[in-house]
Amino acid sequence: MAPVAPVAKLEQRRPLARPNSTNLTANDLVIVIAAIFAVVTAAWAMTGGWNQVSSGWSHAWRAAASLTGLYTSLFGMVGLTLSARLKTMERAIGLDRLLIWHRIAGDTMGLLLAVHIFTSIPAEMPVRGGFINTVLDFTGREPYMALTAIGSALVAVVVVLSLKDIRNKISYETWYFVHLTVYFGLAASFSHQITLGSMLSNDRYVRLVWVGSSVAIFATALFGRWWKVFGSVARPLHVRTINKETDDTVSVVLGGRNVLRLRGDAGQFVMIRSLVRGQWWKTNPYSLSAVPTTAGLRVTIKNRGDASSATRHLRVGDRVAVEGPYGVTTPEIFGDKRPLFIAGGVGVTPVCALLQRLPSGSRPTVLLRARHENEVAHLAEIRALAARCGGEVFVLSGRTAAMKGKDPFSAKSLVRAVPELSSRVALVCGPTALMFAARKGLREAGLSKDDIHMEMPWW
Amino acid sequence: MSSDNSSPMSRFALARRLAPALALTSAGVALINVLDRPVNLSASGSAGVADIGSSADAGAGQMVTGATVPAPTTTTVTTTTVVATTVPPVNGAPPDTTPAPAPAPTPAACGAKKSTGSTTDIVDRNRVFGTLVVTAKFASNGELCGVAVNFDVWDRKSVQIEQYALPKLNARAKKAKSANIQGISGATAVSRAYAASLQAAIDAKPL
Repeated sequence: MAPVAPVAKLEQRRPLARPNSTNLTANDLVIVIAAIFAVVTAAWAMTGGWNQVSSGWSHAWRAAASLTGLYTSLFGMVGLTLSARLKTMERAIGLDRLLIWHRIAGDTMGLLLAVHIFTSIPAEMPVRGGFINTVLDFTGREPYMALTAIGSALVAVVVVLSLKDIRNKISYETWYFVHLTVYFGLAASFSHQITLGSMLSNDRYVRLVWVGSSVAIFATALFGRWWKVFGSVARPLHVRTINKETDDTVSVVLGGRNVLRLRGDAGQFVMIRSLVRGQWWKTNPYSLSAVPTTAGLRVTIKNRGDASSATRHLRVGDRVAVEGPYGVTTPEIFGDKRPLFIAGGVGVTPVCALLQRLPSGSRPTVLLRARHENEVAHLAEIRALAARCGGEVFVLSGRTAAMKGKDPFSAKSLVRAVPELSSRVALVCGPTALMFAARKGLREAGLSKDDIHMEMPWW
Repeated sequence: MSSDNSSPMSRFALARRLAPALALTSAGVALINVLDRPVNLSASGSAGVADIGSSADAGAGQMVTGATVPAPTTTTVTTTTVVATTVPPVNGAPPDTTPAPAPAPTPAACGAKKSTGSTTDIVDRNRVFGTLVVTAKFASNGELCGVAVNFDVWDRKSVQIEQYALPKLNARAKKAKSANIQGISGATAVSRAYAASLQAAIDAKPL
């Protein structure tokens, strides 16, 4: 039962407790969210929204403004809830997908916010005496609207900065801190929902439910998110060993008494914050490259950006705050089927961990993509582990340009390289381009969506 | 090696990355303080009411062109607010721009009979925004020919809504010659109260 790690020599270890399983699925989450939207839409329709739509332009503007206002708020709440990293939700879909959904909720909220603003103005223009007066009212003359205008402006700034092209131009932490001002933006723009939203200001019970759930969600998000950070800093792990694996990767074992508090399994990843001067305010996700045990968590780190290179300045004994492990690509995903791993670059790390947990007859196939064979971290370890359970390892090395248009992940080449391809479960990890190429090839080769797993801890 | 030359940078790394967020937040707080100038409700009582009163005078003239009414309207004014105007509530439009074009001689045809409806709450579900009273005027043949409204509301937004909606409702009532009129968008509560009060006034029509 105990995993056999041929490389690491660690004293008296036993695997950590596995993460809790949950019956919640992604579908359940979608259904709950859809149900909340349905209830709110019904409330809107029953309190006059539906009649307004079909009774003239000014009515329709008003109806659209109130509905989009409600939706904007709901998407904000959904986004906040997703970022709270609630344990059950994380176990259901994984932190990576949780945060992808979080981003989608944020984008949608930004879009709806724009619609809300540009429908509210024509809706109120006749009542407030023209465009200018409406805008003046909405930016301060109406009670609480100054708060709302500035709050929405902050939300808009955050949404725009989160667009991929813009976000990639600024440093991650700069973006991250700016993006936290969304808490302020959402809180500031809340009050106008009560003073101006007719549905909410008129009915005492509706108001009670709305305010109550908003406050509850806000508090959950704040505490859920930051309490975990506090806990990880209060109970840090220590750097036990640092090994150079290849020219630009090191493996770091994080251990200590506090590791016993964690639950985790192969295939998961952790958020790491080095509690070193100048580094404590950055976190980075790293996949576990070995089954987590009482002796410690092993992560393999590639020298990439500034935070990663800083991690290389870690010395044995330094304190490290660890959140997680997170992620749902644990060994259970393979069931009884033969595993197929496709990994590129530093994406080999979860493969290495998962191979330790596979039963001996599982005959996995491992496809590794790298520029050169000696750039693959843990290659010897992977070969040994694969051989132990009757599997094989292929390294596709060389530059993509030198492959003369032969896509190594096309359906054709995959079918040729991997026996019994269509009856396997595939795990793909690596750079985004590789993951999407491999997924496309696998889909064309006949694997179902449920049999292709991807972990993207960098969302 | 690289750690040495990056250390002076990393001393300010956090500050540099925090700066935009802090700047944004403080700019936001400052702007809120600058922009937040909600019209004080108790103050708007005097300003709003005075405006409305005078614009009612002004608008009264315009309404006469429609055929009937007004001059008496202001005489029936209680201490509360009165509107019987077709002038849209253009904020800041000085009331003296439409000096009453001598509406003085009220056509005898209209207003021969008058009746005042019930004082009705302007209420939307649980919330009461104020009250209004409709005074209906009838021609000698008993036909509804003009309407005046007194209203008393307690907040600024309601004042705006009433200023906007009541003239339109007056016009609609006059056109329909009954209380069976279509409501105004965004002024559902007023429309409902108006219709109720007008119906009461019509029911109480002196024979």
